[in-house]
Amino acid sequence: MTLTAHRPQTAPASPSSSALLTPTLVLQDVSKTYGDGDGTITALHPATLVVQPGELVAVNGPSGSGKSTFLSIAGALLRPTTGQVRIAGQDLTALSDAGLPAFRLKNLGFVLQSSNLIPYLNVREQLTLVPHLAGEDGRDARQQAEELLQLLGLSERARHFPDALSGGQRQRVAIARALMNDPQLILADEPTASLDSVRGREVVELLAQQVHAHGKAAVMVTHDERVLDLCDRVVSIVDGQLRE
Amino acid sequence: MFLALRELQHYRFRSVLIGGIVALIAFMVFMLTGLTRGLAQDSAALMINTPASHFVTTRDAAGVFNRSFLSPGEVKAITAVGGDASTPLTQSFASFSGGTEATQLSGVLLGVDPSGFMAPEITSGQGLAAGVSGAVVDHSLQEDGVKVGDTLTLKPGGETLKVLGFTGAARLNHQPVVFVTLDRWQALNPRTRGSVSAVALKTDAAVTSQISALGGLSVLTRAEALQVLPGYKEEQGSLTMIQVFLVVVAAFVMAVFFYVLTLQKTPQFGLLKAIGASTRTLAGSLVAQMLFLTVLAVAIAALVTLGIVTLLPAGIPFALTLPTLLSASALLIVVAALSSLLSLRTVAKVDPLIAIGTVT
Ligand SMILES: Nc1ncnc2c1ncn2[C@@H]1O[C@H](COP(=O)(O)OP(=O)(O)OP(=O)(O)O)[C@@H](O)[C@H]1O
Ligand SMILES: [Mg+2]
Repeated sequence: MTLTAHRPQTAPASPSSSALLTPTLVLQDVSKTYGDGDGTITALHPATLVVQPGELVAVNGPSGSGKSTFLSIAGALLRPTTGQVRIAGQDLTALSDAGLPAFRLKNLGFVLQSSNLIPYLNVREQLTLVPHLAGEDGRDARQQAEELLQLLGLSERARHFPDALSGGQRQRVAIARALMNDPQLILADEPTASLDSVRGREVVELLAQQVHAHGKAAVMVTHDERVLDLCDRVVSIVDGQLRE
Repeated sequence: MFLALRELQHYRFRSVLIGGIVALIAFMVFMLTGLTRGLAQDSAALMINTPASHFVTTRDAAGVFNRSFLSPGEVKAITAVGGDASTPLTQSFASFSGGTEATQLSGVLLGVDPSGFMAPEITSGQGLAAGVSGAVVDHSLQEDGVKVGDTLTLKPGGETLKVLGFTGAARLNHQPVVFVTLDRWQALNPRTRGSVSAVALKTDAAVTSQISALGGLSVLTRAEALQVLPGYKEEQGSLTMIQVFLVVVAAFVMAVFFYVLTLQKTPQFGLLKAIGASTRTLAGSLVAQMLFLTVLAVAIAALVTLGIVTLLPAGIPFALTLPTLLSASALLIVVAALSSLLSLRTVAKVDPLIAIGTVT
């Protein structure tokens, strides 16, 4: 696999042996309250979570319990009310608002539930968009896109537009796109929601395989009980309280 | 740029529709500009192309030639200050027969000093000279069959004017100008008792203020004299108003089009921002898209306008020079760029959180 060339020291085989490495994601006592004065809503009570390289963590819980809030904080999309977020050693509170998009572009990969792809770009362009936004187009980017498409079995579909793809194929493209910038951390929000159980399982298997093979960390919000066995750890959020 | 072009290309039909509307509006702006300029030339080519910088009339006439009667004494006083840079001219209306057709023709009979700077430049035939009794006429009379050597018979007196030659761009009050010498004009208009309508100046403010100081006079710049020309301001004003409206409508149409499209694309912008696209990148893409469409549409409209102009019947007054066309195009493109500001605000406000679904 040529992709490993980007990071020579390969991932640990099991999460337990990875305790020696710097964790990819550290959430230290993060909480989130919406509104101020009397009408405050605590979407997330102080929570601490450490995700090591090579770990796929599932987050589940009932609707409105704070999962999306949690994922947004972990994904540098939302600043917590209290607490500290470190991604790949970088303290996010030290970054300015203008610096956050650039940080996400370089270090994070997102796989979302829906409206995940740009309708007017074909599959190959969905992938090359990421280096393009970072101002790094070129042969390397195109070659990496080809390799990822090959790896995820999408080579034949490279010139198709999203509306010509099945739900499962679309999520595979989304995973490929999330891997384009060779991120340390992948965040997934219900990536299986629009898929049947077989396709959903395939998608999560793919994610798990990428995480384990390349020492990435991933946090996946899911309602889908049937894919939890593919995850290394499951945490649940109930009424804004995080539990392992 | 990549996103902008891909999107236009993917939604080809939509792009063509929007581009088409912009092109149609641009086409209307160009045609109206041509007509406005054409009418201006038809109405007052003499005043637009004249070498004169100022015109002096009596104060009560306030620059309107056919209301002004400067006495020989006043003319002397003015030309004493102005010297070679001043020359009298005098105007009356004339109707005459001539040319091939039996119809009656009309024109502005203009008396000028053949050695002054208001003397007509001929395009064919011979020019005016001191003592000649013939006339140099505007070439638009050629369409009525008037040729060099023809005799025009003035109505109702029956005096005759031999056509010595033709001059270009000499129209006043929507009529062709018939140039004669001052002496000939005075002979044909004995009632004016040697008075003239105006003195043209080709000079600067220092001399004109000296002339104003003579009293009882009104000194107008060429542009001011054009504005008080009967009917000119009204005609040009209403056409210019239509043009301004068209440009404003164009701005609104484009602004609303792109605004609605931008609102529809909010989820996409959220996704792109979540991935890490900066607002600046997205805004740049939007402006690039708008400019690309507008520049293309305006260019097509300009080419079509240039094509249509060659097909216009000769009688339609139409004048569109390349500089005018280019500045009208530039105006439309600037308006398009400004109208994207409304959408830019929306793009800036999109929260990447909508991609994850915490906010909708
Ligand atoms: N912008 C906001 N302003 C106020 N309250 C908010 C805001 N966003 C979320 N909340 C509240 O915070 C709580 C947690 O919301 P969140 O979206 O994180 O839940 P969730 O677990 O993702 O739910 P679901 O499974 O339905 O997606 C909810 O009570 C919600 O109403
Ligand atoms: Mg949610």
